[in-house]
Amino acid sequence: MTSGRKIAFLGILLGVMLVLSLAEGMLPPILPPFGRIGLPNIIILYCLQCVGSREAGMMVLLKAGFAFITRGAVAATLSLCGGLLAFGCLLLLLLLTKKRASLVALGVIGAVAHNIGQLAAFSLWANTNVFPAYLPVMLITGVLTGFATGTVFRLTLPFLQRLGILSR
Amino acid sequence: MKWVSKRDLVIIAALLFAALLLLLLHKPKNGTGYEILNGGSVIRSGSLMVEDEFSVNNVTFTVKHSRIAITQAVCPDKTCIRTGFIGSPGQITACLPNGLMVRVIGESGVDAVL
Repeated sequence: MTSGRKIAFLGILLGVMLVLSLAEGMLPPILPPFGRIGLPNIIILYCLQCVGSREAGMMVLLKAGFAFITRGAVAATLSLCGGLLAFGCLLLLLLLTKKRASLVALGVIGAVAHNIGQLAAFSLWANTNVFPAYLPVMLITGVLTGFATGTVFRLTLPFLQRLGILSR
Repeated sequence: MKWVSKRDLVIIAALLFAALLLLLLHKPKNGTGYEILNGGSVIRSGSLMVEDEFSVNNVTFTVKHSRIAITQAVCPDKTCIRTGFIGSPGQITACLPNGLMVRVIGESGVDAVL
């Protein structure tokens, strides 16, 4: 892919991610407070799986930047800590499985790591250990939402690959 | 590519098991007081035993039946209000856009481990 094409494609991915992020915020609250489904993370998974880890890392940073603009500094810090921990864990998972981790596993590990990173950031910000009270519920929501996003990713990936954007 | 492999199920089962174990270890107790923080420093504290309602920076707090909640706030997401009443030590509710946080204090809710 030429660099111009790549930049344009990454721009589109970024746009889709931000729209998903906004749309998710408008959904009726079905999860515990501060729990989100993590639809934008599908784009990060896609970047990681099909484009490259550097691009995926960039998406994590840009997503935190977007959180800063729309939801403030604290939300941005939470997004950044969750995103970076999830990114690190996913890189490790891909390394350990030699890039053969299943998409659902990527979704689940990413979501759980994201939640743990956020709890850690929240503990630091609030100067309170919030793990005892919130780790169980965040683990369970992480597994459920990660399973959901991993499945959506698994279902949409063939269509994205059929477009053949990356091979041109 | 399979949708869910055996290894995925093992990962999921392990995580759910860990959550269950933590749930069993964690016995929620009743908190005795609350602290309201603004950016990490305590700006107001009080007892949960006294029913009260007050406002700080456009955010209304209600203390009732040994529990506290944010009941009104000027912010777009209302996550703080959805959190509802909290009453065990370690629980928090926060209004992120306003930078305010409430935490319940009291004896730790975790039985001594290690």
